[in-house]
Amino acid sequence: MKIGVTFPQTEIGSDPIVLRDYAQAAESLGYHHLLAYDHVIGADVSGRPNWRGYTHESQFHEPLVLFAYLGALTTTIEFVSGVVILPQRQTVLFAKQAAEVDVLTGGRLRLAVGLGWNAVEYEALNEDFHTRGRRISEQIEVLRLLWTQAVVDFKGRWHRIDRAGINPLPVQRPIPVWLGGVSEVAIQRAARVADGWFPIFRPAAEIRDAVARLRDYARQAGRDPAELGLEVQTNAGRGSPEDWLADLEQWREIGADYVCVNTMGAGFASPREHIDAIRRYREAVGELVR
Amino acid sequence: MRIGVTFPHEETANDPAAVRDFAQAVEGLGYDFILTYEHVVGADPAGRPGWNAPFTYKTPFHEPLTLFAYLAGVTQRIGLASGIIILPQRQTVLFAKQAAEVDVLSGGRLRLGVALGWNQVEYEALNEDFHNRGRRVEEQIEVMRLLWTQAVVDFTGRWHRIDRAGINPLPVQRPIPVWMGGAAEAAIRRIARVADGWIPFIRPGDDAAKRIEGFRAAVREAGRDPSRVGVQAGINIEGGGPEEWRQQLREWQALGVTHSTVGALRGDVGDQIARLRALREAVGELAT
Repeated sequence: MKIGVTFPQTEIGSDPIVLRDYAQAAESLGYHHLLAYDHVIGADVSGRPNWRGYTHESQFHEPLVLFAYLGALTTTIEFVSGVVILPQRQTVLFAKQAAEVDVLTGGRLRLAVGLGWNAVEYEALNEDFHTRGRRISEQIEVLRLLWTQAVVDFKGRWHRIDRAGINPLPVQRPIPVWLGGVSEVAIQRAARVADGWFPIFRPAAEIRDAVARLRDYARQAGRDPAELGLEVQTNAGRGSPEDWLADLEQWREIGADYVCVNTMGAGFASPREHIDAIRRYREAVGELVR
Repeated sequence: MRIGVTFPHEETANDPAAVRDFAQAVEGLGYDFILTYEHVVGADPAGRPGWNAPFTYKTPFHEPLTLFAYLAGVTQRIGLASGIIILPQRQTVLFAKQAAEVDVLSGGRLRLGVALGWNQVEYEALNEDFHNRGRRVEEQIEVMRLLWTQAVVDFTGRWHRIDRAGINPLPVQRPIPVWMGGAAEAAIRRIARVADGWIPFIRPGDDAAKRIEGFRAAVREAGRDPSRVGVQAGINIEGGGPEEWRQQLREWQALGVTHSTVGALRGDVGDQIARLRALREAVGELAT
């Protein structure tokens, strides 16, 4: 089981030296990967009384640009988007930028993608919110073609590539694509097309049942369920080392390949406290995950 | 006058160490900026008998914004300039977000050059309209400047709708400078109206004086002060020696060019750096 950190981007600020220090600390503590969420734009909630979730005051670093920067300043840690809201982005540009990050980091990119929930964001990016579930499968198909073939000729429902390609191709051909989402449709889609499933913050009992269904769906789709990875999240900002170990043991038993450690929402007042938290966590669980 | 160098795509395409070495070397030599152009995809010319473009799917390109983020990590001071990015084939809001991120990570070192491009295959692959790109680019720049200067933007245009939302963090430069390439009459008028500078792709010996004067007239006609609008020109060091190189720069200085860029060089990264060192020694006091 591999342990990563969730980049505490809503709380870490925007000083590039601090961002570097955090990534280098995570790498030197032995974390396997650094995961970053994605929102391109945030809505102003005044005049939106029923709004839930992030707003324009929530800070997000754009994951591909951030990973290119941190890739220059680290040597081994893997970079994971979790999740990039793929249907609100242009498929071909996303393929190109992901390939560039993969090249610049020597093949250290893993992409978890999902549908998002924010219609304001889709509208601002001029993409259709309502077709996002159907579009994402075709997007993943196009991404994999672009990452493995020098020239792609593709006609789909939403994409037309007329004998053209990106260059350079990525180091990983193709770059792994995981899918988020916990609806039944999302689980079925992940079982059909993804390299792994990435459910964000759900109780272990729910995931245990869902993983069983995920594997059934994969078999039904003619795939070996063992090929499908599972990444889950845990909180290092609260609880005791005993809680952390019990939590990890539970995830291991459920079959998680990756666990990502979150420190946001715990009241930490400085980047230093986030770094201290991932150090404490690592020291507590170290033996279990080596 | 500021002097920059064109980033070598082909020689560094699959080699992050070469990317870093080139950037650190030219920063160490005192150059003011690194300039990069782009294409997102290249077309296969097979079965396209009329195809005579210089770039195909065989030509490697770095993606500028992710490249610049990487360069921000390995350099301290040098400017990062696109010249150009094909803006109307990209989503405006994502571009604004990613440019702001580069600006934040580089401490405010980004300067954007944008233009319309010529490759319909690329627009089609990116699912954007090739035919209205000239009209759209102006609204795109308006939207980007709003996003870079306001925490919340409420905008309804012909091609954009932002319903009370914003990017966060904002860039260091509010707004990030936007320069534009282009040579057609309509392009010159547009650039004179909205851009922070002009990237005309001229070299000494062209009808440079006439074209720069024509541009300045268009800037005045648009009610703007030409001394506040930059002009970027190319210099060629593939031939000649120190005296010819100095002559090119003196000509640009006389014409009021604010930024000169050494065009793409031949040879491997080591050869290119050697020639850029020679140029730097030759022009020393002409650069500021």
